[in-house]
Amino acid sequence: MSADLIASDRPDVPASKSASESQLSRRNFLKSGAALGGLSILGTSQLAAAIGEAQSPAGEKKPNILIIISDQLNIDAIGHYSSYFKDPAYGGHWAKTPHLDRLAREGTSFIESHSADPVCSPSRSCMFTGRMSIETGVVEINIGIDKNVPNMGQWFEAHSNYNRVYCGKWHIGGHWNYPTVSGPRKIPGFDTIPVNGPAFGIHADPQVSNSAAAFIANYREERPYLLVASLMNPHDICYWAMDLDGHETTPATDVNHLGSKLPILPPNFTFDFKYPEGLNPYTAFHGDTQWGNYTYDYYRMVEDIDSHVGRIMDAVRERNDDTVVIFIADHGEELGRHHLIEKWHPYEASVKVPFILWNPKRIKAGVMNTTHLVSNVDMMPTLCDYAGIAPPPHQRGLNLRPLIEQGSTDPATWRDNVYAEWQITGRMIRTKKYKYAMKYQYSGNLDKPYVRKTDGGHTEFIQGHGDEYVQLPNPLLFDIENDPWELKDLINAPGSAAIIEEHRRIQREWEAILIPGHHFDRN
Amino acid sequence: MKIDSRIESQVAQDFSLRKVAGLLEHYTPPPVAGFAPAGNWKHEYTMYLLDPQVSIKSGAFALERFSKGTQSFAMTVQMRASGISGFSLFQHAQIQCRTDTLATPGSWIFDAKMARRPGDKPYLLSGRHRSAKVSDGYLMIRDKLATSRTMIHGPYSNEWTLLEAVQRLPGESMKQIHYTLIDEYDTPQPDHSLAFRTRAKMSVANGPLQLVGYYDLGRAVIPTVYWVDQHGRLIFVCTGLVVYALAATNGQSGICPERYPAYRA
Repeated sequence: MSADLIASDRPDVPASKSASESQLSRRNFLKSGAALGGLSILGTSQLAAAIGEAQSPAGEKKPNILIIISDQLNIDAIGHYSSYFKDPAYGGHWAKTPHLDRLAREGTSFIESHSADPVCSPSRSCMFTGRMSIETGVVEINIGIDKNVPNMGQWFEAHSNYNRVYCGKWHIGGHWNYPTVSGPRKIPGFDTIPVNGPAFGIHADPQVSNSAAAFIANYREERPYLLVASLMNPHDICYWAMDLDGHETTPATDVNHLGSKLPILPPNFTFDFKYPEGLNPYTAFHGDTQWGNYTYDYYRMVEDIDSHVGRIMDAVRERNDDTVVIFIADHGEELGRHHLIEKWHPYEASVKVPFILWNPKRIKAGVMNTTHLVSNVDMMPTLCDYAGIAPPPHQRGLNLRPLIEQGSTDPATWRDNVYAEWQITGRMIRTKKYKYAMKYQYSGNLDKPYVRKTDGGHTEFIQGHGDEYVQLPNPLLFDIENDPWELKDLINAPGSAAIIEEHRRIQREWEAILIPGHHFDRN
Repeated sequence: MKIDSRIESQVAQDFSLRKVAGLLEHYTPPPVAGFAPAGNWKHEYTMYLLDPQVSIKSGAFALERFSKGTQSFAMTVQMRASGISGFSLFQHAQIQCRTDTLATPGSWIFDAKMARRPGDKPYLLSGRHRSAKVSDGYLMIRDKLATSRTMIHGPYSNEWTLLEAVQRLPGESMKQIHYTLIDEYDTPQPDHSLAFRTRAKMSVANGPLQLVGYYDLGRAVIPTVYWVDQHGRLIFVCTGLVVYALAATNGQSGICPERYPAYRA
């Protein structure tokens, strides 16, 4: 890693506080997810003071770190959460997930957990950098992280003695999914266990779980490991719905006779508002039975993932050492909700993700946190703290240790909103009660995605200049507390104007601090 | 791919045959080569992944059965699934089974590793050797660190030994079986059912095939149909995005193309 990358992740922004960050009020800065941008620019001792007891004592042996990723897994598909997701249309009533249930019982789960950009590559870029997708440059699938933004492996390589190993889907290097052991498709900062899909979880995931479990069982080095076991399913469901020139795919017609075994359709399978302009709705022309088949098979893939998690966790438990485990997904799956499939959308089914943290010696067991809004950008600063290192500059996530080790449920101690992007130029602000989503007009040019109001020219996003770009009409506003299925769009409801303005203000605050990046493809 | 009316009428008999529709005109089953389901035999299979456009070879496995009288047999499984950078996942198992309806496995040893060649050392600590035994209703798996115990209720099978068992099923007269499927070699998946599904007639490159299909539904597994030919050989396994096609029997090969076009309704 280059020295300048360690000091500042971008040549044009000094490692000291940026002008835009300085303009944020202290209250809003600390209560928004942007606060970590502030923490990250402090020195190590200040950082330690800022996060208080969560900082590891000097000289403490650092834990192993295991990140298990599932791709396209709905949070409500985990059976343990069915006491919270009570509606019978939720997945926990249709899938059996004993291994994930056990992980949740023995660890801390966040229910208000969000993808920072609900599609594979962008979301993964956020998870592994702690930055928003507009900053990593990965605003679309099949492109790579800005070469000036360090990934977790690079950062740990430069600042810790962790042995960093990656096994499974990466998808943030360019137009490829699985890393090689050397060459341009090796992930900087990580060694590779060379599994492959090429884009099929059914093929790759057994390689991942067997290899990751073996690595854990065989590991004998003194230094701790940072191992990523990146499973691909239930992402295979994408092949069920691909519409090729109007033809059904082969698996889409698999099961037409299961009757009552088919999961029921969700309450928002039909709804009475229009998709917002500019939203590209991924959908499929299935009849009710085919939707049922689609969902039935999806839950079998969820159960398959559960088995792989069990295999890996068996190896962790057998070692019985100090290992911090994170289970997370990059995004969810629509499963017919809002008559949609796949992800990409700002709706709950796409944006909500499982986020479980486990370590019997450190992390409270049996906690299902429904209070705090978290984001997958929180993974990076949290793991940096467990490793005893400062996080990279301009972190947009927060360190979860105070929540997961002290069991805090006081929302006043935490951020009051999370920010996400979607479909390249979309924005989403989620507060405790509401979700607001809007979209700038997309120019069609990935490198200059925004359209200037003044002359219609295409441009990159410039910090704090969002008001200068063409915004599409019909943003969305949902009362998530009272309408979790997002059945009623409140954007034009009486009394919504102040709520909308407050969310736009939060959006502007975010856009003032985010530092746009450029994708860098290692093809 | 343009599906002609001959194939269309065949695949219409069962959804799972759509997965091999594009394979049929290029596929030649291996010679029977003295195969008898309850005897000694070796089958080799090609594994295909079903991309929406084209199905591609993704690995291979071999099953070898060693009869130990009428009550039991031993089976070896050697599987290679393609990885990246020239690596593959190699799995090997030796399984002791009963010659019953589900080819119930009693004990087995198994290992897995990522390597470039079968004889190479595991790459980056990816190798593991374990043993397993089912006793008094528990699956016990032992490796060098620990022994785990998992309860198994009622009848059970294993995803590999089941491939032997379906060759000895009686067709239409079979009663539906409810059982636990042991996924790979270590993960029991309860709530499975195996039943007769249908018969089908098809044509492949060198002549007709008369098939009988058995249908598996259950936890963690996409609905699967096992197709057995008129000689009692498991010739296709069709599930989700995966097809296994019989490539050789007792060392005598048929023809499995490298790839075949997807079925288009």
